[in-house]
Amino acid sequence: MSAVANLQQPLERPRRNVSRRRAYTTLIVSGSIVFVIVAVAVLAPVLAPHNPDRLFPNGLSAAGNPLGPSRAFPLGTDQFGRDELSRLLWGGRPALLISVIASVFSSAVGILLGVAAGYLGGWVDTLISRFVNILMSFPLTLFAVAIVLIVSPSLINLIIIIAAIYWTYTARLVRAEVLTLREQDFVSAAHALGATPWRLMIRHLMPNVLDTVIVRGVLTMAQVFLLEAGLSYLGVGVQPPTPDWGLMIAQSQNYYGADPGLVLYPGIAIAVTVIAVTQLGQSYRALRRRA
Amino acid sequence: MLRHVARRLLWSLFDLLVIVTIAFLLTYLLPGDPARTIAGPHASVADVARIRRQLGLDAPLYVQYGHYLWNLVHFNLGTSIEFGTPVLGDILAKFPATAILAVSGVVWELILGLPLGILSAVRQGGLLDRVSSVLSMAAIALPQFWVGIILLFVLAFKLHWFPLGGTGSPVLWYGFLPGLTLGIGGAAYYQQLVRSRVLEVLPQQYIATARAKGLSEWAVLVRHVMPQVMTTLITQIGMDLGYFMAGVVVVETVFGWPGIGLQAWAAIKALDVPLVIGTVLFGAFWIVLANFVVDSIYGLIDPRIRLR
Repeated sequence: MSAVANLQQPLERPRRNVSRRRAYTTLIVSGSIVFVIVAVAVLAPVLAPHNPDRLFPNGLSAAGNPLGPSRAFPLGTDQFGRDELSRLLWGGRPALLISVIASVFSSAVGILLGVAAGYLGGWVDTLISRFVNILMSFPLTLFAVAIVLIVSPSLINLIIIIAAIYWTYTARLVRAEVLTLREQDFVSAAHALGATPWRLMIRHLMPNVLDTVIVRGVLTMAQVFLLEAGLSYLGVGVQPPTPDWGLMIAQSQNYYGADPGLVLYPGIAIAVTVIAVTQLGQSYRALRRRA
Repeated sequence: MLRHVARRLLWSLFDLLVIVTIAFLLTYLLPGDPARTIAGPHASVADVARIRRQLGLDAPLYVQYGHYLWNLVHFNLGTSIEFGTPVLGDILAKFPATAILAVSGVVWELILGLPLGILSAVRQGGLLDRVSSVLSMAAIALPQFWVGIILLFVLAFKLHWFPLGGTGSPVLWYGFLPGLTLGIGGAAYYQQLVRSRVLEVLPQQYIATARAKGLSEWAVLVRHVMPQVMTTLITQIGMDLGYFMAGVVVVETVFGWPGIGLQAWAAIKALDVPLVIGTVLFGAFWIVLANFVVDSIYGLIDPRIRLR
């Protein structure tokens, strides 16, 4: 890298097109992967060769170990003699359900409170911002685990708790954006035309922060997906015998030596899902920003 | 500057008070009767009532709250149901292990993230840049416990390079894999953060000036780019340290690392609410403290912050 080369300004236009095209490709690829994952989860009852919870008497070796791949069990069986492929196909359902619903809820709460804090300012802002700060000060995993323990780990409780934690990130982001938006002319114009604060927030500010919220919501899904896996691993998420990727890893970890696939497959499934969802959010953001 | 710090300190104390209140309400409002738990399932109704009176659980809410605050001010976080010992003592006994893990987690984040971030920015689009961005993408997306299990299996179980868990002497050897597992996700994040920060700084005019003066690339990096990167990183390091000190339940559980996270997890399974809530409070204290320190340092580095 020579000094002279660096002094030259990069040519703006072609570079922009290249990165735009790349973002577009990423969007298509990651979007397709997410679509396939969701489709598989939805269609699992049709696609799975066996009932995921069924304990096959012939599903274990004579020594009681999980079986390797065979015609009846394409990916072998798990430590209880259940069909691994069927469990994998079913295993994304709880985490997907939790992350989608929790993310929608946290986005809705986040946009409402974020816009209110940013636009109204004053004591409303102080109250909301303080509360966001305080919620963010709780050690996340431990806090979630502690509450789940006390209220029992049902699907709905998990969703409520996760949404109650994650709206703070959306709210903080939206607030910051509204702070700059409200100085712009269209807000003054709407105000001068006699728009009420309520109308201004709903009709003028919210549409403008929607992109940010969508991107944040998608990234939240990825994070919740990981958190759900962690909670299931700790035994306070999805409960056995429900097939769930995080739980499958937890339950099979002692059989790693006998069949590494039991740990590897669900882990890779989680990683692929999280990467695809993250890339989807980031490429969408990149495209919107340059549009 | 002092006013800035003092104001921050007051807000931090306020935050702590609210956190304590939330924790108190959690233990008070949520189902589960501590008196019944202590007495055991076969105790008579009279026994349970007696224990409830002893614990002060029959008093009105505000009296219990006042009592709770009074105890907290005297460093009394309550008594563990399972062990019958003071909760704070239990936490402090396990805290050194967590602190070691937290520090080594941050060290791993820096060892891996900083050089990779700088190098991939300096050689943008090169092989190292592409490889490390793919790796960091994967590292962020992998569940921490999964990484831990794989490392444990390959490096400890198969190759016998490291112990299979727990702790012992030398700590560096036992803490190697837990620290790496804890740091790997953050390292990926640091790589991305440092890379984008360096890419922002490199086209600046003062970098061109420094080069024009005849400084070597190395000197430009160390003297002009690094300070910029570090101001960005210092907040992240501070927050990470706070979060890790607050207890890393998952990593400690995977490796059987005897810190406050593992203890809290055991307490959760034993329905030992005081110990769980005590650990949550202890963790929140660390995060609030980290927030405070980071904000104060930030005001010191960047005087504009103080004006707000």
